[in-house]
Amino acid sequence: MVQFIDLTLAGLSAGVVYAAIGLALVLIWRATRIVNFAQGGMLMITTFLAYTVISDGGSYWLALAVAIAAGLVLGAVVERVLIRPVENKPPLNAVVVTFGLLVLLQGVAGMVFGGTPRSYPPAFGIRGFMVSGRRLLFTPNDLWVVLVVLAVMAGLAAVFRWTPLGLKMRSAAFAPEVARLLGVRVGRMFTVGWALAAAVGALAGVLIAPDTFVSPNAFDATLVFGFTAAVIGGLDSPPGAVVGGVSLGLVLSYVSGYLGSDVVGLGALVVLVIVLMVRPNGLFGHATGRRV
Amino acid sequence: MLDIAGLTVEYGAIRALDSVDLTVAEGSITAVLGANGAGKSTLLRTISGLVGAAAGTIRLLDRKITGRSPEDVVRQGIAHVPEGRGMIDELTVDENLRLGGLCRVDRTRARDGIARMLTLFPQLASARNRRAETLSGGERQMLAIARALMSRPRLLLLDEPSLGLAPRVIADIVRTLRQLRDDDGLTILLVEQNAATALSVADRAVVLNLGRKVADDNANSLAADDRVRHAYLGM
Repeated sequence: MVQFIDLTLAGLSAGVVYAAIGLALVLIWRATRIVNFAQGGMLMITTFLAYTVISDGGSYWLALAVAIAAGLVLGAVVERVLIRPVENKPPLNAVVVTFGLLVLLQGVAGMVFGGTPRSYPPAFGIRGFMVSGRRLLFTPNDLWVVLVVLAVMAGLAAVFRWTPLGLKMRSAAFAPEVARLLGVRVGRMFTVGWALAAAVGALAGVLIAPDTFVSPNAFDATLVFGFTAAVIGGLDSPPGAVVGGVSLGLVLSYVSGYLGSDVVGLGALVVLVIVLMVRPNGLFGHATGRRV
Repeated sequence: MLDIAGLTVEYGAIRALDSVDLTVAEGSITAVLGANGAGKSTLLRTISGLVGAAAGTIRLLDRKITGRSPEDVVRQGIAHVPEGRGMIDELTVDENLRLGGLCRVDRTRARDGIARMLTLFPQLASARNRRAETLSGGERQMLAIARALMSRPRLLLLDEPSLGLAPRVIADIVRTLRQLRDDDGLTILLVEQNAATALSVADRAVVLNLGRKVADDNANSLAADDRVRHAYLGM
């Protein structure tokens, strides 16, 4: 029983990070119908910036703020400079551009910071909570990770649901031409979408860094799980990314705990295949008719 | 109020509009008639900035708007209800209306605008929190018009408002258009394939054929002109 609770809580805290990365991918997919393969590279760069702040004596919180601010700027610049020319072009163009950016960012990080993994401090203690005389694996830092991700998601949901900016962003994503006729500056909404997504990714990078360490390729596995979370959820649905991320985190944690950590990757694949067999558009995706 | 001179639009090698001249008087309803592919929708899409002009100018109240983006054109006072109504199915009726008012600077007036639209289109009042995809065809057309009016336009561009609607619903919409012209002094440029309906409401009508203007007269004379009726309107 204690093992089950430990695994559940571990799955939850890993899952919310997958959810955050999934959400970053979903925000961009919804806005511009592009899968941002550079997401891992972008959050790696912002986490390296946060690492630099901390190694120069800055606090955890300053580093977090720098990472998120850098994410906002990086997302906006990437959209304006690299993505704008390939929007409304064949999808392969965007795939090539985002992959190219990933390779570029990883190359630059390797040149500047080197390939040695650097350790990254957690925000809070990493000794598990004591519950009725037993020490859980769940730590205060895990609790912080869960709470901050849930708070950010609730905040984003509120912005999308209730603010004029959110209304404009949704209209730009659903029906760009109609939105333009109603005066929505659609290009600007896409930039904001990329900026928000990159900021969410930057947050996820800082949150996971104590577990993965920081190096040019440190986040590759996390990113694959984040992508899986987004696809499970339907790629189009922010709540789907959250549910997908948390479910994936839980399943992988149980697989790792009961079957062995060697088969975790396989577990993710099995979950993905089963979900897509049962619901080909993901858990929260809308089935769309296709003309043939 | 709207002056179009020598407007030419090309899609690649195809000339969709060929030096079209058109004047729309303030407070009037002008109908643009013609068969499929005559260039009617292209005319509206060029006015609202969705399509670029190869030659010619479009002026609204003596200000040149050719080459402006749709986002700017709507701020100049032209609202465009596109072909197929441009509903955003995923948004609620209320959200669609709010969206229509967002380009206005004064937000409180936009809230009054919603109240006014719900009086003008009472069917929408009971459906405010429903998603647009649940509406009937007539309700969708009313919502599309209401949403366009939220920007308080001087000129309303309507693309095939009668398409796919029952005669009774069409009559409702025609009555609303008259009311908007007579009570609010709204200027309307109406594209229609349904010539009879359009001529019954319009003050003036032009006929396009293969991108060229082939007739331009007041609506009554045009409706009485056998040559035009037989050749272009199928009446």
